[in-house]
Amino acid sequence: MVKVKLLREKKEMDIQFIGKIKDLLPQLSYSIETAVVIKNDVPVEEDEEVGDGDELKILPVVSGG
Amino acid sequence: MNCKCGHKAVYFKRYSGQHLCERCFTRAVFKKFKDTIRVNGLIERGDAIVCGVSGGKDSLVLLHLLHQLQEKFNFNLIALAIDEGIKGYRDESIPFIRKACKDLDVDLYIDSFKEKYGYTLDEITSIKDRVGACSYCGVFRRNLLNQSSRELGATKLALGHNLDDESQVILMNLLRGDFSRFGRTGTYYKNLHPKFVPRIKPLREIPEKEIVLYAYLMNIDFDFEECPYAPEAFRGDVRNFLNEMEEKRPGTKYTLLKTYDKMFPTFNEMLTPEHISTCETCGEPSISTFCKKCEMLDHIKKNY
Ligand SMILES: [Zn+2]
Ligand SMILES: [Zn+2]
Repeated sequence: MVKVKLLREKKEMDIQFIGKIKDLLPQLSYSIETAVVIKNDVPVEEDEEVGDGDELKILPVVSGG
Repeated sequence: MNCKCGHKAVYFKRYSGQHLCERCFTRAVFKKFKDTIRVNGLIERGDAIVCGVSGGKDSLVLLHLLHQLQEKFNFNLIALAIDEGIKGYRDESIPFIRKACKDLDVDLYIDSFKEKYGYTLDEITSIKDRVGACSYCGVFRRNLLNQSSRELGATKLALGHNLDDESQVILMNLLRGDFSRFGRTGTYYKNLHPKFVPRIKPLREIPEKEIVLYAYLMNIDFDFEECPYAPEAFRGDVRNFLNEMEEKRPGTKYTLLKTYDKMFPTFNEMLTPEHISTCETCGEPSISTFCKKCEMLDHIKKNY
């Protein structure tokens, strides 16, 4: 299970996923242009692999100036 | 992937193919900011810079970068916030502004629509016969930012518009044929009226995503909330389109901005009025006898 925290939506969920961040984002209605992803408290590139036990924070790119 | 310095990369700059570690990334952002200022001559020694702050990521990152730049050369820096009077939104972002200014030891001034014009934005939008909230807000905020920064002695007003904001506006103006708006924003400004404080946008070449990451890495607390007054749907469409294009063709937003910048001198020459007069009601700069803000206020008073 991957723990995902969506900061804009103020939602937390566990999802079954193994693979690259960029392939996970569309499932969360985000893309590499619209999200900054923090994995286990460190920002990561879109090609980063995630899997069981990882914790992700999704920072929305769009928000008030 | 690793950064060329050997550390693990936190960011892939797709449009240049660079993988950057935390240190190299934050340095690259500062360098882009500094180069934009240097190349376009946006800040000179001895300037009094008023930075417009909203509590969102862009303006707070701008404030941090300006503060950092003060170490390199001498200019004054003051923060200015505009309280539009949006319940549940602006009142919640002001603590973020206060904290940032306190951390950096920058003086903060807060002006409000209510104090200056007699109505909060929430009150304005309660009238029956009205235009969109963003139209009132845009006109009043622009006016107040200009007037207040002038009264604070500003030689420049710095705003946090990023590459995404700028490329969206350029494309929107093109798509709706709003030719008269071309030539309004660019890398330099003709001073048309002594009461105009020149605006500078030192983040205009930095992608929004990099601003978010920079804020995260520099521990800049900002407000995630979006304004409750729904933005124009058209802007959302343009933003989505540009994001899709950027994903397929990295560099799209930057190229659009640079193309515009090349055309800007021509537009600016063609479209800028010879001179701007003064509003007979409030004494602020205006294209016609009465400024847009006074026209709107008059209408609000009659309908409130
Ligand atoms: Zn590095
Ligand atoms: Zn006026």
